[in-house]
Amino acid sequence: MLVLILAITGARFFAGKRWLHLANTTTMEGGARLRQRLLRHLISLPHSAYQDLHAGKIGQTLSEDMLWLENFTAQQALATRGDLAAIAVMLTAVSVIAWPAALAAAVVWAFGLVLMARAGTRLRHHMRQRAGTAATAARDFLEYAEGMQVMRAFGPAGNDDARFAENVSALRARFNEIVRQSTPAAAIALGIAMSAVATGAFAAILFLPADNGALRTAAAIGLLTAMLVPARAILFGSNISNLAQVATEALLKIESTTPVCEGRVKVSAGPAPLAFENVSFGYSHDQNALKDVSFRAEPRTLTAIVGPSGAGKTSIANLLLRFWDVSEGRITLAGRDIRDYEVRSYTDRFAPVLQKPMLFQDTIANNIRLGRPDVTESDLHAAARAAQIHQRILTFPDGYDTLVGASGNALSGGERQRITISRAFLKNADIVILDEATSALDPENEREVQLAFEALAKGKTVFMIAHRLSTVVNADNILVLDQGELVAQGRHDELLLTAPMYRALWENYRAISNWTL
Amino acid sequence: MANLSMVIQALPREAQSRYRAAVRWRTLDGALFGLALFLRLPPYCLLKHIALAFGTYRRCLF
Repeated sequence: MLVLILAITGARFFAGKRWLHLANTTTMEGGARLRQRLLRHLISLPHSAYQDLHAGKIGQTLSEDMLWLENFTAQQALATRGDLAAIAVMLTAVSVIAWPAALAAAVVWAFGLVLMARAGTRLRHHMRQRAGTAATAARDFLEYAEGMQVMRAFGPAGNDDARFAENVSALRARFNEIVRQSTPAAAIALGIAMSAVATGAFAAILFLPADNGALRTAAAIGLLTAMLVPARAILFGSNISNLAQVATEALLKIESTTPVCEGRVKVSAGPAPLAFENVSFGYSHDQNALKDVSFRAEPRTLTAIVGPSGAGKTSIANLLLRFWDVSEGRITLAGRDIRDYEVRSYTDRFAPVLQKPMLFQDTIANNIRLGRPDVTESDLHAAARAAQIHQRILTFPDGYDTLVGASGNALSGGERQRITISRAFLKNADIVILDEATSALDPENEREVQLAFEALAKGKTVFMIAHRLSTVVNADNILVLDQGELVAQGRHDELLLTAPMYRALWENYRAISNWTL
Repeated sequence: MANLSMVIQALPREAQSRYRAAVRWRTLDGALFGLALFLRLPPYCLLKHIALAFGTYRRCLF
């Protein structure tokens, strides 16, 4: 007997070592792959998808939901298998010794499993609600953290403070609801599992022959009681299974969101004209941001887009970059609808410098290398030099390895802007989009950013969105937008004569330029 | 249950089979656990149970 027990202990040690190693390594690898797949999918989504999938929800899915799923996969799913196997072995033993006890216990446990499944459905409903509340809270907390400087300067805003408190108490309420729902369900299930012992004993007394029934009944009670150990483990692990199921639903919801329309044609090399043909577009169904807009941009020309705030300037950039797709009409590159092209092959032709310079919490070098991790150091330096930021980077203690801080907060606005321009230089795409990039800079930074722009735009097809009309005077074509309509287009001199709106914008700009304090 | 996990579905076939091996080892571990619990019953009773199971013991001591 002792040898047998020692042999089982040794075999369990070996089996435990194997399953722990295999399950953990494969789960970690699978988790990494799944996160990458989700990230690639998120990048392929149109911006309209982000009205539902806000930053809090994405963060929650990629971190908390993924952790529950990994926990379930590496531990709980296997533990449940093992516990079921233990129960199967012991139930077999009971059925050999006292079959009525095994049958009665199995029936009671089956009833318990049905009750657990029902309780699980209710519990998952509350878990889904908690996940939704947690995602909203995460989004608001992010906003709160990002707006910390503003709140320090102006004092905590009454609404923000109240919203923070609301989020915290909503999360607590959701969590309490889950505890309220799960505690009685767990107690009832445990009660049922335990009552199987008594039911089994009763069945054994009733149905076993009188001559040796008492001993067999005692043995059955001993085994059924021992079976409570794995049964309890399954019961307490069911919460992780429920959380993993809710997490899977969240992941599937992201994966089932339709990506932007993906064509199969690769964009051919070489300069090509871009054209808007009767394009209408709205961020919502009831209001168009662009109405029947048509224009053509020849290769290596500068197209400037001007107009008052809300005229639809940024919408043109959004459509060109395929952040959104048109509602009506079409956009063509080399005469072909851009929706026919492979998205990656199409967007590779663009180097955008957007209004808000987006930097990641990483080194300056990695921020410039974004999307092109394999570029050489000399190419990296050349791009920074062309963007007028190389010398400035060298003054930082860690040079190119300096961490830029959250959202690039360790750098000034002009420095952030020039790093994003370096990124555009490194991409070396033949179509450049510059979106109101110098509007918030001091004169020194503006001059350097302007020099960087000029270098970046050389020999490229450029779309420039700007309020400062001095930058667009030399444009080959100026698009004048008003309330989503293209009211005029042409060169500066022509527009001054023929387009009252442009003339008004120009006179307004001149007047502001002459302001002195 | 384990086959449902999206984490494992994201793996290549070879890694999936490694995970399935982990499931098999864990099942064996559980079965051995059940056996160990069974053997933890007092040896006196155990011998009786085995004897009873094979029909060689016919008289109850109680």
